[in-house]
Amino acid sequence: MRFYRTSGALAAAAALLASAACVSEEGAAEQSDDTLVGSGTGADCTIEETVPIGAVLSLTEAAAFAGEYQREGIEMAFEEINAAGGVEYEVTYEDDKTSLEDSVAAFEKVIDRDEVSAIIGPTLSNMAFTTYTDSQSAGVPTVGISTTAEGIPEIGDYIFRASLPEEVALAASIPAAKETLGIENVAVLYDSADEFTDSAFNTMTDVLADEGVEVVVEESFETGDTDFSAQLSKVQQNEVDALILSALPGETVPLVKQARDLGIESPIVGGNAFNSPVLVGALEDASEGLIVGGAWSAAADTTGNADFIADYTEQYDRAPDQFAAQAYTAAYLIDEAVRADCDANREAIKDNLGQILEFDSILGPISLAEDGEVTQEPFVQIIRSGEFTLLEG
Amino acid sequence: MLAGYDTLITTIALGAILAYSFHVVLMAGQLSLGQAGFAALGAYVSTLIVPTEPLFGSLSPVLVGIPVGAAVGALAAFGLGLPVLRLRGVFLAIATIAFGEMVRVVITNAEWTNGALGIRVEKWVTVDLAWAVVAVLAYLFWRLGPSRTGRAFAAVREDELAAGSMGVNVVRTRMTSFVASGAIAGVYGVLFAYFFGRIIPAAFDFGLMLDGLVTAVVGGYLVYFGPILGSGFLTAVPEIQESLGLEAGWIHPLVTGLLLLAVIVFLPGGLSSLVTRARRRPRPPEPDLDALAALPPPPETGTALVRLRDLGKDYGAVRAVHGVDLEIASGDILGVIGPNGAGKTTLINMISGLEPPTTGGGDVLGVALGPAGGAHRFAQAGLSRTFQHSKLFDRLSALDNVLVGAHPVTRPTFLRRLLWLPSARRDERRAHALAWAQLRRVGLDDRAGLRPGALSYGDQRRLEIARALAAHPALLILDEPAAGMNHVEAADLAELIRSLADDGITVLLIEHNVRMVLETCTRLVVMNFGEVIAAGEPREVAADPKVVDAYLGTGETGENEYV
Amino acid sequence: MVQQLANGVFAGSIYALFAIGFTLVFGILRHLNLAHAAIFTAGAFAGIELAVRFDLPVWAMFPAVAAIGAVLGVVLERTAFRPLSGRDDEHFAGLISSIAFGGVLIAVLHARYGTEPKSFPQEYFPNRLYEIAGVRVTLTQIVTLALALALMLGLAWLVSSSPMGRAMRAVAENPGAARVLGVNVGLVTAGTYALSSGLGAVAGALLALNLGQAGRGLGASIELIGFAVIILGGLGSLWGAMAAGLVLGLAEALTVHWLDSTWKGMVAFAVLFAVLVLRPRGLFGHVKVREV
Repeated sequence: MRFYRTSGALAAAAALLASAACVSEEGAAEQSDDTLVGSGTGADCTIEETVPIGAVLSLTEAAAFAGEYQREGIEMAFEEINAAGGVEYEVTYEDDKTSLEDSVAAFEKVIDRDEVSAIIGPTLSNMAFTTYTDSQSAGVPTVGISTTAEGIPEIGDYIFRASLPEEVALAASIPAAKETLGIENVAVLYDSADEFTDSAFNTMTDVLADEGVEVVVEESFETGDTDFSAQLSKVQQNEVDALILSALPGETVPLVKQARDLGIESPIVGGNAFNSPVLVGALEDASEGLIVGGAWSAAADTTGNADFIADYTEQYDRAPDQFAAQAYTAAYLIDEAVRADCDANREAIKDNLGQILEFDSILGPISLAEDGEVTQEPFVQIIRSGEFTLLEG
Repeated sequence: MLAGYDTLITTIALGAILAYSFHVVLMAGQLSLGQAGFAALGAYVSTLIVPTEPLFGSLSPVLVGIPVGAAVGALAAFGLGLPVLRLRGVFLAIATIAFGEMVRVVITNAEWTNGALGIRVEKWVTVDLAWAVVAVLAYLFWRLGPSRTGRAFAAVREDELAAGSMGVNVVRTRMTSFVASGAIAGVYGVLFAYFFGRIIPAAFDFGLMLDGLVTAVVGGYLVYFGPILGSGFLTAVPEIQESLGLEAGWIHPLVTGLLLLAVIVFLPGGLSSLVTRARRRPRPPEPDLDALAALPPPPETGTALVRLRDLGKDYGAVRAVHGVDLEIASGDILGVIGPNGAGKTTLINMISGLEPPTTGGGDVLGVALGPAGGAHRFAQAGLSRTFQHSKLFDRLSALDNVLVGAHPVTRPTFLRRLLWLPSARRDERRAHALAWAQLRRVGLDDRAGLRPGALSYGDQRRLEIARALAAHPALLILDEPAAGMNHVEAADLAELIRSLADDGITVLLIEHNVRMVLETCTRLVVMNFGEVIAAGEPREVAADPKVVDAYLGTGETGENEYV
Repeated sequence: MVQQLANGVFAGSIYALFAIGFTLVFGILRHLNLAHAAIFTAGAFAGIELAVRFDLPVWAMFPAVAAIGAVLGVVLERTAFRPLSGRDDEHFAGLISSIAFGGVLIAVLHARYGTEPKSFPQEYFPNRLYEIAGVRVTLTQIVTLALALALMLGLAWLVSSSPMGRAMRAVAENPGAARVLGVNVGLVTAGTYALSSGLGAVAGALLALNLGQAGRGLGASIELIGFAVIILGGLGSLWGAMAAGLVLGLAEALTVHWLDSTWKGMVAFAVLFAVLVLRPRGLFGHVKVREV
């Protein structure tokens, strides 16, 4: 008797397992909330309800060097916007602890529990590749602020970025360096274990080929390495005009220092991750002559840039970097999209983000296309006497 | 109800699955830490095979990936196990870590894996599917624990030498746990890939290994639901801490570290020991005489069970045993005496297959002595033994110790237990009947639920004899069973040994208590300096002047005892 | 080529310095101390803080860091290893408790120093470049190598010739017998951890001085190589650890030189794996564990 009962239980369990194996095809929940629609347009737009925004950033662990600046940039922008009146935003900050699991969980929280109108973040492209598919299928407009890897906007029509893609930055910095310094052959060093730096390396190779610059040495290392002397010695054996570097800040500092210590004096051209005053501080003298292409420059004469730097420095007691500037800009872009139709529902924000044309920001005139890609002029800078200065081509 | 918490709940399931892949090796006492490598291989290979469309319209394509991941993980573990399973402890741990790192570097640099950029796939894994896998694993381990295989795992964990001597095939058991770990890790890799929709080599690093190990240990690896408890606990801690408003980045690792330290120091069995602390005392079943009666009868009196020819063992330049010719016939109670260092223990280690002889040869119960090794083959042929320094399974109850002893006379029950087959129940009942019979025989049936550490010294020696008897041996080897016993206990033991002989069990007894040997044995062998110096009828041998000289004269030179 | 050999020797001396503390604890106490990497990192941060805040010159900074490391080592022994002694699963549990202790220590560093790497003051240590027979070496590299050799020789002397070393060897041989002979086993155990952690902390500060900065991941970056070094050298063998550190450093540099730097991360583990499979006692396994 007992046997039959247990086999019945087994059958029930099997049925349960079978149902667990099914994939449910839920569409994006179409929801629209009239209380998020206001009156007037543009600067006059007034919405009664507070507009919820989610910011998922790496506030701790490996990528906190960027996440903290981003949080401050977003915070300062929304404080200014809320002070200007009309529309009130409330930002929920979620820390993804620089971990994929936490990033996915944080996206789920802001989408389903906080029911935000739009999301800013995450800090790393690595996480964006998996979290953006969630915000896409949930139909939440999402603006990336440091997700520079190839293929991000292609994830879907709800995905935007206010972060200059690496290939654009490099496509500007490498020719500029070539032109001003007369570079013909280079050594390329890159971090092969990191998704961002590996992607940037691919871009560099393409741009160098387009520009007709010969790559004499190509060496890699891994995130977390501390000794680069073996690779640098190979660079040194070959007389190169410049060193092109794709590395995260953690490895950039010891690598550049070791290169200078070993007597490699050639200029060093770096990717987006170079664009940080902290890096310059940590590198001290070794930073001299570093060339960086980026989305923002402290030296640029763009609308509001001087005020931004002054206010930020006063409020947070340190100079802003590119991460802060892009995050700050993204907040203004979302506000612009909300005010366009005076509608803070997800659909409306998505539609209007794709219509932003030549918005005057601290990054210069910036446009977002319907496919989510950003268009802006990159700034090529060179570090002289510890200061970022624009490299005039 | 739980909307908005899907990721959290699935993360618990994934953490538990990863922890199960550590659980299964820890159960068998193997510190194997290559799971990150198995998971990576499972995940990457599955992306080549899993279809991009749902199966039959609605079934998750991961159903294809799960067996693929399991197979890849198991194969990789088998291939790795062949060279590295010779290693033990820290060496095994580091060799497997090295394997994991090598896999990561290869995947980072390979073309088909797309290097550090990783591979994007559809998110086919739902909460239900992840938990269904956890349920299956929990079910497997629930049924494994009290099965013959589960007991073999536990025996290997507690003492490999004793487990082998009880008929457990140690090499195969270790490999089984290793391959199972690879399979589970492979499944974890597939579920991870298809839950997050993306895999990069860095996801399978040293940190993943630490997470899995810590989860398995925090939950407790002696109980089947330990990984679920561990994963639930470690996932809940940061959530609770955040809801308390403690958000600084360093608080989470600090709290987790302190809790882990507290668990390992104060709860050696992990969190699950909180749940299982109130253990039921095992109740003796009615004596089942049929089970005992159905066992094969002992070999006919006078049959030669052991034949040794010119047997010798050298350790480098030291000749521990040499030139031993010895025959043991069924029905004998053979005593072996000799001063310390005479080679007695080396001799029986060779007879029981723990050490291969360096010269000569022989056969024991039809199994030839030789380098092919494996104490379990001798045990399965009907040889059972105790050890000079007791080798009980410390974290098993007295009853479970004796159940392991019954290994050679029982059939595997794990697979049939999975299906709840009545025959498995019958076999388990029979194993218990055999075990209880031996516990009763040595007078420990009222202490069956205690661990060996809670027993008196004399009781521990008796428990070891009960464990050896549960194998229903034709030949029983007792290595100094009376050492440390008082007179009354020694007399009881002599009585027990005689009663065993009455049941037809042949006994080989090493003992320093000469009076006991003379009273119980039918034949006596005296060894000195690795050689047999006298053999024959006990009283005659004891009177031999050479023997008296060995014991009273040159014998006590304090050489080493080769265990 | 010669330059690459020099690079390998310098990298290897850091590996060796990390590993000797690691292997000392294993040789004497049979504990695999996974908190060693955290103590290494703590040493780096401590060195930086001493230099920045108290303006301590280099010659005074290292002894101070060693003292801090030693104190941490004693705390580690008290909290993570001593409570477990005598348990059935002492060695395995010690592995886990040392992971926990390491995690706590890193969290404390995080709380104290924040998320960003910390740097030594500019010009704290003059970094000159020398060219010796066509090989470029920096002053820090020379100091690193010299200090590593000096510390290793000192440790070898200490273990072989001092009363403390004799007591350590007795404990390594047989703790029970050592106790009977009047050795204070508790004190020797604590002393071993103090010594091991002091060395680990100095190694951390030295690497930080080389890099100019230290982050919380400093120890983790070298920990796995450390495993390879101690196994390769034969667990518990001091000279083996030194030799293996240099061997791995050279192997990595030569891989970059002859092959491709993408395989640099693989070398140490491939060598380790091969050695474990072919010769489980390590390359220098004839140096018996107990001789430390």
